[in-house]
Amino acid sequence: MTAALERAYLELLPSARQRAESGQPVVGIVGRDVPAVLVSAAGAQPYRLGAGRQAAAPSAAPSAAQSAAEATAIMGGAVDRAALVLLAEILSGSLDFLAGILIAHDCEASVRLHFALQELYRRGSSTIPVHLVDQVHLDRPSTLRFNTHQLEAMTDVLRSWTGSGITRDALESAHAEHSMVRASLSDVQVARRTRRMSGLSALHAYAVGVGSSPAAALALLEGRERGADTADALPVFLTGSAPIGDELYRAIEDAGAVVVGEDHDWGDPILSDLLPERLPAELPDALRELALSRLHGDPASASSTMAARAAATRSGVEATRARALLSIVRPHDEAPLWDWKRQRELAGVPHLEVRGEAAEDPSAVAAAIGELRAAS
Amino acid sequence: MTRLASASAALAHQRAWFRDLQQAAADGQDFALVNADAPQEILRAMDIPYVVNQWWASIVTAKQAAAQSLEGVAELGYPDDSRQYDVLALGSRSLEADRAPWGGLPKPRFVIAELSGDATGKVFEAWTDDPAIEFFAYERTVAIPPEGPWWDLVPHEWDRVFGRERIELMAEENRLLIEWLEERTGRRFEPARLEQVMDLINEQEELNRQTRDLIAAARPTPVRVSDTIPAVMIPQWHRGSEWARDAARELRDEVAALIADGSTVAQDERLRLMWVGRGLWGDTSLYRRFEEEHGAVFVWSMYLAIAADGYIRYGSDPIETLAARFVGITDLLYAPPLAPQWYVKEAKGHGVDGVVHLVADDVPGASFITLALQEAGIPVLEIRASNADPRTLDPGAIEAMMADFIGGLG
Ligand code: SF4
Ligand code: SF4
Repeated sequence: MTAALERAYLELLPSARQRAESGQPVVGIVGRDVPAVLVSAAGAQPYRLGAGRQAAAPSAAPSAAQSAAEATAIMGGAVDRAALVLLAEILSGSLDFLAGILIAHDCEASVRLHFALQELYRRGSSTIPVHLVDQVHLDRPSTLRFNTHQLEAMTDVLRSWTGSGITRDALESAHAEHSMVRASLSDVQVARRTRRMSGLSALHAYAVGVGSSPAAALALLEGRERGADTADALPVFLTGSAPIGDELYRAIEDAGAVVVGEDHDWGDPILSDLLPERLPAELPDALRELALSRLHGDPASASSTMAARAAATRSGVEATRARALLSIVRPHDEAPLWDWKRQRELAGVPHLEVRGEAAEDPSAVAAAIGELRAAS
Repeated sequence: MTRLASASAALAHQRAWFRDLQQAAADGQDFALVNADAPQEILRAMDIPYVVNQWWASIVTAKQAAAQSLEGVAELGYPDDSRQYDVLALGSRSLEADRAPWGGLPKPRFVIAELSGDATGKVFEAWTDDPAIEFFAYERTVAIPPEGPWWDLVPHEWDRVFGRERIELMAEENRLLIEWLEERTGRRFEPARLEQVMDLINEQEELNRQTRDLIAAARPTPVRVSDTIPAVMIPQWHRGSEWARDAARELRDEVAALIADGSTVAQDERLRLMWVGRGLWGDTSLYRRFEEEHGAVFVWSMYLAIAADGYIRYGSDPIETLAARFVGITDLLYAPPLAPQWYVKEAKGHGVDGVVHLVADDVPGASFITLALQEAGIPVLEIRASNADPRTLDPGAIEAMMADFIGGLG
């Protein structure tokens, strides 16, 4: 099962491309705040883009280096590398099969990525249209109204990209499919919490769950065998930046720990945006429910208060019975640095923050695990 | 220092105003600390005193107290290498009385900010570690492409620049803030008072617009950018007061008189330049050398120009009109395609021969500003500066690059 998951993870990009070539539009999504179910309902396959997640087949080195330099020249150097990697991937042309990219306003780097892609498209230097889904995050009626409007605008954009509007039936069946994928991802969550699955496999499962067609994801996730017994490893709860690729999870788990939960948007928090059991029949009401589900989901660092984050970390540690808290914060990802004060005060377990260059260095991360093992 | 009487008058006013504020705070009067990108007009209309966060940060920096203020931030348990400028005010609260600039910032009762970037909200939340301080947040929504040249549209047709939904959201937040302040201060908000404030601001910014147009058309340039900045910015912090409106009028009259007298910045003006990005206006010797050696004069600053083009709003509902002023004010300066188009228009309007663009690496869309200027046929010198590493702003190196660039233009 875990090997199959890893293979599927590595195949995400080619299989999305295949789908596009076979005639189904594939729509790229950046960020957790874009409801993928609407993309499915519009007749497209949602493909969640994550930096480094589609770089499985290393492209020809010189052009990759050139795209990276170009990305930095466009966005400036002081932006989270995740956005630069993603822009470089787009500039390299490997995602040209996408019918469009929907970008969430879930952090500053995504907004900057959006501005860059919008300009490149306007100037004719990119062929992929982009649209920003401006979901904001205060729990207020005015915010909910604004976010619902934004989702309405998103459905209009989808119609122009895919040629099909969202019908009631299409939304119902998309909702059913996505709910099933979520149910299997919840099984994955249980498996890792009961130490029957590694964090790395769970990470792959989340990527597959949001990056393939729902049917394909289900087929993969439904295996009963969950793989490795992780009972002997130090259970760690991970906070900080959302990883680029899966190397850090490997580094952590090779060093004798297991990531039993996390609060970045590629992992567990996906499940906290609860889809309602039934969506209201009228589209505007359904959109309102979708906006609400994200507003009430777990707080993401860049869009919530330090207090909310610390409380969520605390309950994450408790729910996963983690025995250590590790924060890994990449350069220019500022928000998690601010969270750390209250997170560590509330953690209740040994904790460590790895920041700056070290955050991208597997050996520094392994050393941190060594320290945490000694402390717990 | 400055040759402008209106600048000296503004600086004196600021001193006196701050002394009064300190006194009022000592007497138990509540005041607010507001980020520059959040509406201050509601406070003005409710007679709640306020200090603009960025203004206080500029004072802390000018008085060489920034490093020590950041140490204060670290002592509170927060990062001292994130949002440094935004957090100086918080850190400066820990300065010893004799180190604190201007006698120190008193403790605010309210802090107000827009949730821009990933961490601004956290910076302001940090103030609330003191339970006597409360935070009101505005959502930050993202710029959309406007339906035409924004500088022509914003005064009356702002919907076509910012979109109806963004304005409605912020207008609703304005109403929430009013309620929130009424509950906490016992004061009553009077819509008529806000209308007055809004009228005064339009008058003030129309005067700034006239000043900008005078300077754009004048040959040679009558006044240094470093002189107009305080004469524009200090009244901006006092927007909506009669004093601020009158100060803008004095600046306009003074500039008009200088032009009439044939006053010049450089003896022999041969090159007109525009500085885009954070200026180094504190170091006037840098600019003087280019005036003397090359007849090169900087004729434009974003402070006067954004006052002229970015703030005027006419509308029937003052709360919506206020939302329309603030909802995208920083987009106008930074976000493509709004910002690049505007810098090109300003460069042409001022007849500049070249642009020096200081690109801070934390500013979005800077590369598109350079590109747009170049496509309009205007030579650009890009100076890349790292915000985290001030050493990249070596004045010697900048001077050498500029000398090269200016030599090539002449
Ligand atoms: S005018 Fe520019 S520099 Fe001055 S406070 Fe506003 S944004 Fe900051
Ligand atoms: S430009 Fe950025 S850092 Fe500077 S004041 Fe505005 S938000 Fe803060």
